[in-house]
Amino acid sequence: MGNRRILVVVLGAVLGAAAALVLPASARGNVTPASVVDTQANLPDPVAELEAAEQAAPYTIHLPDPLPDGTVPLVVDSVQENGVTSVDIWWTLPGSSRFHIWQTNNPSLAAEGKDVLSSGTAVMVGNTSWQQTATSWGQLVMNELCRRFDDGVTLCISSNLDPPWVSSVAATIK
Amino acid sequence: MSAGASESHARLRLARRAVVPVAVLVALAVGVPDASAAIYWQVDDSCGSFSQPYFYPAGPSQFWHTHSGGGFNGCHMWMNTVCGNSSCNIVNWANWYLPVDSSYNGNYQVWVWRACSSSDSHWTNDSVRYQRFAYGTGGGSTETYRFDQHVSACNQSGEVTANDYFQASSGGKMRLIDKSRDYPDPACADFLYWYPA
Repeated sequence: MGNRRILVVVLGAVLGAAAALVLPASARGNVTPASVVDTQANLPDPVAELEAAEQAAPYTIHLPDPLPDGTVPLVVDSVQENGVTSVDIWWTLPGSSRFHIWQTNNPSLAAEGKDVLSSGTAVMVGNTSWQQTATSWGQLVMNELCRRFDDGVTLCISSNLDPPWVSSVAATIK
Repeated sequence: MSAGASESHARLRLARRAVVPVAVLVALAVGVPDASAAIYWQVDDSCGSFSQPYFYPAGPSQFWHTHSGGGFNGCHMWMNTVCGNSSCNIVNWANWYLPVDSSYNGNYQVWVWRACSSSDSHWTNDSVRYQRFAYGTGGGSTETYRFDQHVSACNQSGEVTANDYFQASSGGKMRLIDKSRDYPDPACADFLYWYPA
């Protein structure tokens, strides 16, 4: 009797495993891959991409000087369209925090409904007025400061670190 | 037939009947393996949690939002859009970087997740634009695809590109931009994967 029970379980297991191997993936319904297979992605070199963006942009790219301690660049990307160049940079910081700078010579942000110079509240960083916003990204809050520089470039700096930290970095942007 | 033989046959029939449910239970427990799972490369937005290095929202952060409840793994990011004609410029965009090394250059289908607008109001845009970067950031945009994020076949992935080359050695990527004919409906950024064609 005990042997028969064992036989039933073994036979069932074999048939079940065989069914798992034989049935097509489509039998599972929609595809939901399980995991990233290769974690060694060939992300573009951010230093090379920044150099390329500097050459392509019709303005001098504004950056913090010096960069905050422990900063590591992640990605640099730029968009050119209709004479408008926008540059976007992400850095990572110790503790898995990140900060981000976007800048553009787009003169039509207000007309396009994305006037970063009128949203939020005005705050002073040194002698310069910036517009401050806080946007929830799930568990994180992205604190952002935006302003227009004398060359017409509009820039926003944001991070999940607190507003004083963002202000301290904004003060170093040249 | 003796009473003992009859009892033995009854047990045998019972045992045979038991094999099938056990087999079904084992198959469910093991899971039907997706033969191609090992050659999918996927990137999720991770709801802006910074938990992975392959997805990046771009542009002012204040126009990016996260929403729990709809989307792959129950969450997605979305951005405000701008008009789709030449009078508007790209302000916000998102990049999904192909998460493989240079040995995986080849042709891929690109699929993205679409949640249901009936349960999540952000999935209503019927003309979002994705750009393919076959040769990565430095190679420039290869094509632009218009894609309907508002479909009845939702809570599943839809195909953006059918059979296109990506050179992973140069950092192949996909980009979603905020210019849309369906402005001001938002554009959602969620789970995206490459599937070898």
